[in-house]
Amino acid sequence: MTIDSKIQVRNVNVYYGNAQALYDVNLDIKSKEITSLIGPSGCGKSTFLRCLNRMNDVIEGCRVEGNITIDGENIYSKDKDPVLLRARVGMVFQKPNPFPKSIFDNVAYGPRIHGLAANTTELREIVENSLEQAGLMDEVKDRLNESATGLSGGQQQRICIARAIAVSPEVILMDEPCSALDPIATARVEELMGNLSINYTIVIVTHSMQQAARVSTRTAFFHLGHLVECDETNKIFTTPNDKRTEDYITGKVG
Amino acid sequence: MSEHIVSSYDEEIKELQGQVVSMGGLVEKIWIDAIESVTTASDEMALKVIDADKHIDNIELEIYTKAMRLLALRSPVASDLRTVVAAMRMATNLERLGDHAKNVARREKLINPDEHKEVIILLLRMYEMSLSALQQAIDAYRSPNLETAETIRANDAGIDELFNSTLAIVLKLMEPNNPPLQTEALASLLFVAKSLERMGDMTTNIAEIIIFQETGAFPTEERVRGGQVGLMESQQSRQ
Ligand SMILES: Nc1ncnc2c1ncn2[C@@H]1O[C@H](COP(=O)(O)OP(=O)(O)O)[C@@H](O)[C@H]1O
Ligand SMILES: [Mg+2]
Repeated sequence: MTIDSKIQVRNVNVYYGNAQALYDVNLDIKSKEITSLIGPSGCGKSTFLRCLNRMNDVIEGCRVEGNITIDGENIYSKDKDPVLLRARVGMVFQKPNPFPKSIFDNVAYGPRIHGLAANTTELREIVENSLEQAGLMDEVKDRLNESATGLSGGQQQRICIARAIAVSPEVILMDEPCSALDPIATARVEELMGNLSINYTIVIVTHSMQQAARVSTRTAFFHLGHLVECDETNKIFTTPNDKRTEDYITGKVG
Repeated sequence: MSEHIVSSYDEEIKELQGQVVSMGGLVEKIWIDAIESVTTASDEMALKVIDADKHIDNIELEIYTKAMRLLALRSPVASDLRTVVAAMRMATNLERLGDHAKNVARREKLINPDEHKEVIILLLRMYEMSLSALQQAIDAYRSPNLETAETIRANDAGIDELFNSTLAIVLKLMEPNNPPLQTEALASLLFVAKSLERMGDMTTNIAEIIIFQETGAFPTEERVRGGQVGLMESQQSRQ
């Protein structure tokens, strides 16, 4: 279990001021696999996701307790730079949020600030390679200098994924990445996730159980700030262990 | 049991299960009639059975249509998914149970209930065991009962043993110099015995479907087959 787990979460409690949002969460996230986080609104999925790249640090009044390691390194230790961590652990949000700049500049942004390219040729390579991996190259290769905001919603989301990939992350976090997309654009992004999971560890929050079932190998169910269970997706959707999971995924009230 | 937030969903699932239960009732009835047609040599009853089987076939299709609709529109998961899959498997088994009752009724004309009493007595014993198991199985489906389901699985060996005894007796009675009609009657009795033995198997399938529906497990433990395994051994392997 621990051998191929990329991320280990131990006894994590999260508070917003006095309000506790997560209670003693323990979870192992496996390397190069897709893990889905599901659960009712407000159960703490996004809060949990933000723990994994210390995005909670930037939220006023948010306090994270416990231990989270990636490849055995404590990501909350004093000597860790959160900015570097966020390059290793990229994030894609619910609403596609490209900068109002060219397609090229959107993807080049990360490599530029992290100094990943020695010259413009290298930068171009990184951008093109990221667009390729995001399955977008064919669609945008003739208009790299046009504004990214002129693309369709699905394309914008894939630009955001390309932007996350451009800094060579190890982990990609996605918070409801398809909730603003139509079924076709969603299918494209889901297929993309499948391809990316060959090289990246992916954690996705989704409110669509069908999506969790389609894309992920493992699914974790959160309820009222507790991680109720995490198991193989197939197990969760056929024979969950916990009644709370059963009631949630079948749409029942107690 | 918790209620779905969308109440019509609950109703659809209950309706599906209700239809399976009433199909089960028809299958019990068709078997009672099929055996009665043989024991009373009633052509009329036999025809009634053949007709009832067509009706049962149609109900299977109705259950499939309803189940497909639920799968397509509700995307059931977990216990709901198992319930819908179980209903479909139930319908398939019940339909085949109906077929076997029809096969029995088709033999009615060829069997004289006043001859080969010793065979008929064995058939009636198989029938009592199989019918009682079927009735219990339908009940255990109506209000899910794992204990009953396990008992039904365990008891099937008894029906298999009776089948083997019947087979032995019938083979002994099939003298080479019997008149052809006599042999045909004996073969018919054997077909009836085989259908009763299959009835036991399908009832065991129903028990396993109930276990699957309730637990998600597919019972894997090899069922003990009477005749192939001695009674002593079979009792040991159960422990
Ligand atoms: N920035 C914040 N400030 C205060 N409370 C927050 C903040 N973000 C989330 N919360 C609270 O934390 C709990 C978990 O929220 P969240 O992680 O967004 O849940 P989910 O993503 O599962 O919908 C909720 O009760 C929510 O109100
Ligand atoms: Mg959220």
